[in-house]
Amino acid sequence: MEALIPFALNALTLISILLIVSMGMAIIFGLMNVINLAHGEFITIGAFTLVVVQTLGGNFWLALIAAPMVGYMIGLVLEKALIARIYENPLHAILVTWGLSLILQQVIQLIFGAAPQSVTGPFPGSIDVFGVAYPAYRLFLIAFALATFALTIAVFKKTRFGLDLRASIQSSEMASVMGVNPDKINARAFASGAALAALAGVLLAPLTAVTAFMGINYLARSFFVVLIGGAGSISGVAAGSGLIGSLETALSYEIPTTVAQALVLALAIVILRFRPQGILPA
Amino acid sequence: MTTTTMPSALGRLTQRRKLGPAFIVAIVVVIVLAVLPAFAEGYALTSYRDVLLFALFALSLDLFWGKTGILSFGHATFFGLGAYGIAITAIHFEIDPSIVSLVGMLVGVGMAAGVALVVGYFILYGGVRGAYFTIVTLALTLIANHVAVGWPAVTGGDSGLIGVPPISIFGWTLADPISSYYLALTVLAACLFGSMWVMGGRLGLILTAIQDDEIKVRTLGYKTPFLLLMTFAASASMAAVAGGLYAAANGFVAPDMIALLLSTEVIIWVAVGGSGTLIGAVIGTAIVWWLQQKISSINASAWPIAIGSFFILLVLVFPKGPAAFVIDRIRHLRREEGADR
Amino acid sequence: MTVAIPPLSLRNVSRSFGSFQAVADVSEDFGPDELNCIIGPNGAGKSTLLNMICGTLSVSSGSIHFGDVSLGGMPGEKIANLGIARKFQVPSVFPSLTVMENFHVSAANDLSQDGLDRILDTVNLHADSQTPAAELPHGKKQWLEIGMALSMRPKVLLLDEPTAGLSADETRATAEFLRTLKGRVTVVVIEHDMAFVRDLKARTIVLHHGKVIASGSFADIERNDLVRDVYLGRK
Repeated sequence: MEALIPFALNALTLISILLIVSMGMAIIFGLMNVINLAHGEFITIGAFTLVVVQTLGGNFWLALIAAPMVGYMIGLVLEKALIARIYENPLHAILVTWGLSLILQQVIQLIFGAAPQSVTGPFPGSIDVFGVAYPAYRLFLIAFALATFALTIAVFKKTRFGLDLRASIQSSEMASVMGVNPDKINARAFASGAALAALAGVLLAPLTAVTAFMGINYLARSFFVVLIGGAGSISGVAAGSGLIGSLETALSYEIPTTVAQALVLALAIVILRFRPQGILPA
Repeated sequence: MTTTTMPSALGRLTQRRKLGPAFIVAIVVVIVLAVLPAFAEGYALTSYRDVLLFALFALSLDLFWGKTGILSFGHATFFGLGAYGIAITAIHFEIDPSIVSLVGMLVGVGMAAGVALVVGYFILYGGVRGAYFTIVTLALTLIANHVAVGWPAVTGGDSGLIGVPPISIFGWTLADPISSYYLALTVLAACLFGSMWVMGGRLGLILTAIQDDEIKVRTLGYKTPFLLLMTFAASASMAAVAGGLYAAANGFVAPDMIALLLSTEVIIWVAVGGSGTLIGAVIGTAIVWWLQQKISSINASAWPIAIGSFFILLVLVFPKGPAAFVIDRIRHLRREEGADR
Repeated sequence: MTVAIPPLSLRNVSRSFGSFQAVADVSEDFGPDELNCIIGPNGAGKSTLLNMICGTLSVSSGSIHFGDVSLGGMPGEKIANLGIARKFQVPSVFPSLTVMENFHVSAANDLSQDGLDRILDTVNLHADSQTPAAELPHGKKQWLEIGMALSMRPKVLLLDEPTAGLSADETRATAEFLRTLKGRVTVVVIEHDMAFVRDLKARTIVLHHGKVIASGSFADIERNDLVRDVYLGRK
């Protein structure tokens, strides 16, 4: 029993990370159906916002507020400049967003250098959970991710923006007849997805090596979280994260982490063969 | 390889093929490449040999992407499996030196074909096409790279493996620059003309027809997932041949031979030459390699940025590919000239 | 043609989509001795019926046999290889290929060059053989698709509204051509155009809300009061 607690907590940490990393993907890919291979770079941008804020003397909490704003602004600009032109053609989306991803990676590396950046998170100590000492920051991460998830669902189910977005996804013509401007909604939705990814970047940064290429580690996993959870449903993200996160944690006890990640992705491909619409389809 | 068994499995393939201008261009290109060693030697020749092997790799991608319209973002997986296959066989097993490179090539090609068949089965028979296929194959490269880096006991981890012996066919070793160049050229030419011949026949038409309307092709009596799967496996095997020859020629393998950047670069080689033409993949590889020499000398970051910019330009400026863009421009100019007269 | 064509028999075939019953309990036999025509208002289940015969849709209950062979659960390409060819409602040809290339994809292996030439004559596409299918006018696309179906040397030809979008002359030519197939190929046509059906002199089956409400010669059908009420009367 005692041994199960750290396992459960480790699994919960990874699930929370995947949850928060994949929520932006669930909006951009799951709801808007845009394949965004630059999603990882929005995570990187969030992490580097923390780097900049801390270098300038600010603290973690300031970065946690600033990063989504930075992500939102960059997302908005890129949507207007590039993404808006590629909604119709998935192959074009793949090529353009991949090109964007390569450029962002190199630009970030040119500015900040190749060496991993050091950042510090809040809550350095440990907290006793059922007799097991567990890093306080991770517990905060779990709570924060769940709260963000609940809030995002609320925004999509209850607010005007969520309603307009779902309407414009169902039929952009219908939406424009009803007085909703689909272009504006798309731009805001894409930017919101980017903001969520940047938020994830700040939260991840204290736990991982912050480099220009850190985002790529989460790209494929967040795609699979959304695909397995069921594209088009935000709540599916929880199911997808839960499955992939717990499998990966369990496997990591026996085999090297990278190989465990590889195995889980392979398993995800198999799952999609038999349940192409995901676990919790919309 | 897999391609040779296809006509009998299909039953309905007949030999009505036509060889167009691309075939003539291909003959010219191969003749030029055959006399090239007379004007180059030593280091330059080994560079040209590597370009030929990359061109073979690009050809393998064009065989699938160009003909089925489905983009594979995972072709470096197959190139890398070919490379690691021969390296691991030669370094970890004690095999008679006169046949070790042949066994290694078979292992690499076999692994690539096996992975392509298994993964291809799950996604192609699952009805996954287009963009989702691309994402799954992208994940495949990530998986393969994770394994290559994360399993140092077998793969050498980050630093890879050195000491891959050169290709040796029953004691006849092709180690010096000239003979390894001609080995690469021979394999490239065989694969190029073989692909053009097969794709110039009914199979090429059927694959184009699948892009237009797959359901209709099925009602005409073709097992479309099977045809796509076999094309994918043939393409993966060819990529593995390129990877195996590359590892043997250079004597080492490293994780960047099985990485996402290589998967990306090969897409560019094909796109520059114009996808679907097969010979375009070879020409595109040469052009991009030459450009890469120029651009990389500026700054290490310059090349990836150039690739990224190219992708964006590819979609926004010349969606049919640079080659088609240039041809369209020329036609347009000619038409204007004609109108002036 | 000497090869005997077995009948295509449908027994109690039904198909529902959720709670919607698209085809209900249809039992019919189709053979080469007469042309068969299925008529009925929009949404009567005509296309659904064809889709089940050629394997694009599975049956919810009942069975479809071609001679002794059960078509249930058979993938579409296998059914096609039994000699069951189908023309879709929206002309589906391969726009990226030329007319000749379209035929090279569809043609049966044992189709000779002469045979192909005869088909090109029949569908009047000789002059267009090198034209990309995308550039053909609508009527010629219809003909191309019919020609492709013929080039498979089919035993059964399923045609979903072959005259949609054709001129009066072309429609008449289509009927004339289909009549020449009688006795050689089992033909099942779905049609809206009453003049065309009358012209075909086909055995006519009337489908309404997924059920067969009448069948017989077109003259019988025209005299049937029920059919008049649900369909013909509403013209």
